[in-house]
Amino acid sequence: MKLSVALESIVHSQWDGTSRTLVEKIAFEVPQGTTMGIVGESGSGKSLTSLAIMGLLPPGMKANGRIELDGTDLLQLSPPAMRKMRGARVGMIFQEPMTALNPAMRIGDQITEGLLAHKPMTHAQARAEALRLLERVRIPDARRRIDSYPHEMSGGQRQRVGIAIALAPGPSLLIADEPTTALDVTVQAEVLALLGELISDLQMSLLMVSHDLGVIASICERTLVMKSGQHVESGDTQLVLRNPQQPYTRRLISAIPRRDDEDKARPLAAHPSETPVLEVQNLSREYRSLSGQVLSKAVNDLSFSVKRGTIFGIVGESGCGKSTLSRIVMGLDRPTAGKVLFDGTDLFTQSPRELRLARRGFQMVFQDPRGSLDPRQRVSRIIAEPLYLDPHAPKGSAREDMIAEALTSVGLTPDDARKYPHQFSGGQRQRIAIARALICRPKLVIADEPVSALDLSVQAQVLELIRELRDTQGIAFLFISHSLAVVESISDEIGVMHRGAFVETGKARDVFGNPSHSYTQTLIAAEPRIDQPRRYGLVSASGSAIEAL
Amino acid sequence: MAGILLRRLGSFTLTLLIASLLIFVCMDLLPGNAAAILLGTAARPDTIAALEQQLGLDQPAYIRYLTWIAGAFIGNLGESASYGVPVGGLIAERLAVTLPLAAMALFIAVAIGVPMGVWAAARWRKAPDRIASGFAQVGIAIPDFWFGLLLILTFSTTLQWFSAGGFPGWQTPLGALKSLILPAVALALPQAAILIRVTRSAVLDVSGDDFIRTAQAKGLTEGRILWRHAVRNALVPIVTIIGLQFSFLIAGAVLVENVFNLPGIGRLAFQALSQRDLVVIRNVAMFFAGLVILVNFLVDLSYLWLDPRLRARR
Amino acid sequence: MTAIVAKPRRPWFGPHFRLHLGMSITGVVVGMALLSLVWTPAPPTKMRIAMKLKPPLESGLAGTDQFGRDIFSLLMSGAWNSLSIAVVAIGIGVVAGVALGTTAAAKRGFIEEIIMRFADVVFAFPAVISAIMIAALIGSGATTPIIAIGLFNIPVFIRISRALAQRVWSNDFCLAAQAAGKGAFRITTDHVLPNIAGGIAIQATIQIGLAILVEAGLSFLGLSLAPPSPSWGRMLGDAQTYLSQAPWMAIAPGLAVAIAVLGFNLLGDGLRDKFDPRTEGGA
Repeated sequence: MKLSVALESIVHSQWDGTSRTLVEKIAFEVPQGTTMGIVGESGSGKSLTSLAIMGLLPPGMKANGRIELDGTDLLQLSPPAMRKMRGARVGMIFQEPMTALNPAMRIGDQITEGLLAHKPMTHAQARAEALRLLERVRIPDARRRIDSYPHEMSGGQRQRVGIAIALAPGPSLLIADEPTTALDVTVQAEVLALLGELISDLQMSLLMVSHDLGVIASICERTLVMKSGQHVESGDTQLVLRNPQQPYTRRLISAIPRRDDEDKARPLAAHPSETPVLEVQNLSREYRSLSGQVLSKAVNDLSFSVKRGTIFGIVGESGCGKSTLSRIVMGLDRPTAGKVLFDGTDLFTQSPRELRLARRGFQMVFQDPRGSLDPRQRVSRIIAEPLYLDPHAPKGSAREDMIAEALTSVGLTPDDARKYPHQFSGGQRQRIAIARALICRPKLVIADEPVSALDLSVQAQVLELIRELRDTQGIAFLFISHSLAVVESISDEIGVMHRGAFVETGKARDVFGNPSHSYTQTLIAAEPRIDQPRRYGLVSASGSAIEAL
Repeated sequence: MAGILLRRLGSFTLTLLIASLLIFVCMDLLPGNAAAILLGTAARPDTIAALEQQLGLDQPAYIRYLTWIAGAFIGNLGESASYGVPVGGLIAERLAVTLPLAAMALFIAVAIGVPMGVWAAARWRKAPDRIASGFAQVGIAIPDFWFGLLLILTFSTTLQWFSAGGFPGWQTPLGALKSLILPAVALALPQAAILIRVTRSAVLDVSGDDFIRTAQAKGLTEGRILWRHAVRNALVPIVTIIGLQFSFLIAGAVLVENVFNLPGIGRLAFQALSQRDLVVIRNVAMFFAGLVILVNFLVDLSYLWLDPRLRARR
Repeated sequence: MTAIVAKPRRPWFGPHFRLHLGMSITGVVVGMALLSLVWTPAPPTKMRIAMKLKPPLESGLAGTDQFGRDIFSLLMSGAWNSLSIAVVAIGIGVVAGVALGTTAAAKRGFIEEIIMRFADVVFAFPAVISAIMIAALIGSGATTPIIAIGLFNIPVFIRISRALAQRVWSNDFCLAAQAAGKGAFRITTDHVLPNIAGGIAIQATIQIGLAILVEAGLSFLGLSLAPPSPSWGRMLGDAQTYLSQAPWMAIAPGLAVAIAVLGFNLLGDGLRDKFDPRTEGGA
């Protein structure tokens, strides 16, 4: 098996009669038994390239050039011939395990379906084979789970089923489009390890598409970097990552969040004896059934404090209770026990009016920059929203000055106040959201996954902005994220959250440099890093080659 | 599972109860006493009083309501003032026309609407889609009773294939069926048009989902992807609309039965109105409302079967 | 690199074909209705027994009815009556339905449950059935179809505005507004209503079309405007008696209803295509 791609272009003909070229001049080869990665930010055309190989481009798009699989040009195949190739010779794994499986079909049937389409098998044989595959991808209790529906499984398990589906007809090439992006980091490590093991055992080739350089580095021998539909550079993964030739690749690599080791002198940092801006004491939030039974403890006896001019990072996987915590600190939910002290006063003993006024002192930045700005309002109105109900808020030109100042402080111009959110890019929208948080000169900003929806290079800029605001204005941040690297790079102190409680807190440097709790160790070990190449799969084949580098 | 069923059953009963209260309040408590309406403005007060007593209208409201509801359970809905027969029997007799008519119309609508909708979605923005969508667009705009008139004009007046209306009774099954064909077609046209649109957009909606791409990547045939994956997951909105159409069919039946002179329940309601027969109107309204609520309840239950995700939720 | 290249395309079947066709048809129907207030080819209610049952073009564009009235003039005046009843009825449905629907989305739990139950109950009464009940109480006239159609449309708009409002509420900007101290009512007026207004307007356009259809049915049964006010539905009712003698009496008013409904439906669909392409061709 050998895949050789020489794409001239992928063109999208639109309904209004115009057409756009989305991908141009991409060429690469994937020989038998090798792994190849395509890396790029959103809009780079990396997914389209992989879909073009499968002949699954969205309606209206057309690929020009040649895509050869063992000498046959796939772009010239008739639809029935293409259908016979799909699945049988090239399998594909998709990003969203939540939506990539048919919700109304048992997983066993979803696997046998592909088998029966390509192989002369009876139903019983196919089912036996499906069971074997489920065991192969290590679904626990496969004999029972084969009749489960997708919604009855966890995200990681569903992605394993996705892999089983792709493997079923025995393809020699596997295409994986962001296969682990939607998964927690520990689950991601398991799925990557499984993928690596399978392709090396079955001697398959892998074409992996990802935005995450670490993921690509951990499994791919060679890498192609794409930007805006064009080839940037390609070659041996380690060479590309260690010695990038192109400025874009260098920018991309330097945008990977990493910790500044030198702790700069920060004039505005708090004195040790100063009252913390935020103090959380023994906070718990339980969910009870109507009969009073405790169903779950989303937050369980949590304590920490955030001082002026510092960033407190909270890292944890999905379901660890970090969102509940941020809602409580924001005053959008109430704890079942414990206190939240803001500047020394307890939030939840205050009257609703006092609470509202106190809210001026702490603001929030959300994850999705698209959903956090009302599309029907001008930027000026969006930014001024926290001034609502503030009796001392200035009016007229003084308010306009405030808005202009807030915009300037996040790197936008005062003129932007007249525009609507859709006129901005994702990173700029997140800046607007930060400007909204800054308008009442808060002491504390709660940032819940503020960079998770952003591209790497944009993410680096927003993180830099947050550091700058901490240093120049002395704002304290409660920074919540699932990404270890991001939290590590930005936080002064961190708490590692697991099942509603901290397993470890302390100075970021100490926690990451010398993790004491096993969960923290697992998390750190699971994080894919570009300096830990080829961790998964094909170890026997090229382990020595890596050493030599 | 049992919990879900109980909850749905509870809300079904509650909805029925509120609907019956609403009808009772409208028909019995609002100004315009039933006896006075029945006898007209020229009636003498003592005649009205006598009739009130005969109809039980001198009882307090809650007793009258309870009597009505209790009667509904034992099949005693009171007596029609204009026909002089028990209303229960009257409705049952008329149902023998309306139910087969509605069933035929629904069958025709589904048989045309669903396949055409799927066909349109499968050939999105190509000729079949344009044809089906255009047909749907026009079909929705055509009043069913007018379409009935046109059918009579074409097939009865001009071609003389069918009689212009009337119902021979089920003693002659073939004749009865034949007399229901034109009205059923008239009723079905707008419903088929609605179904085409809903089916098309439901299937198109699902066609963009990730699991369709997974199915394509498996190398399945187009037909299997369409029916097993796309249509299978589009069934919830389709079944919802089919359920809703029951209420449109009933409303349409009142009109179409009048056009074709069929002795159905819709015509009964209309005749009762001209006779000012409030007992019949009240019970027919309750029957229709109950039927719509029952169908909605069944549709609700069908979701549990159609979407396995709902079975897990409480 | 994204290069934008213009390509010639079929000029008349463009992306906004439905919108433009819908606008034209609706424009003609509304124009006719307005014109009928000041001018019609013949006085629409004047009976001319000598001219009765004349086929189209022999007397007037669309012929005459059993009383010798000019059918085209009747159609024009009927358009006004039909449109005004439909618009008022849908107005009631929109105002009450959106108020209740957005409340249901804003206040979760008990209040939402009550509102949705109410919607279920009202939805169980097709307009024809409630019209019969209302007519039994207050007789026929414009009020009967307005109440019956308006009532039936309340749950329609409760459901759609609740669904749209829920989508708005799921955005973080509503959380931000809550954090700024805004209450549910203020968030509804500031954020929810501006964001759902377009969707509601599109649905209202389509529902006006359906209301014209239902009103025609009601007046066919004699449950709407009383004679001699011209009404499309009653013209069809009259036509039934003369079906074999004067088929044009049945064809013209039905066509008028169908064209008006088609116009509003196309307009609504076209607006949806233009402003919310995701739900293309929705229910």
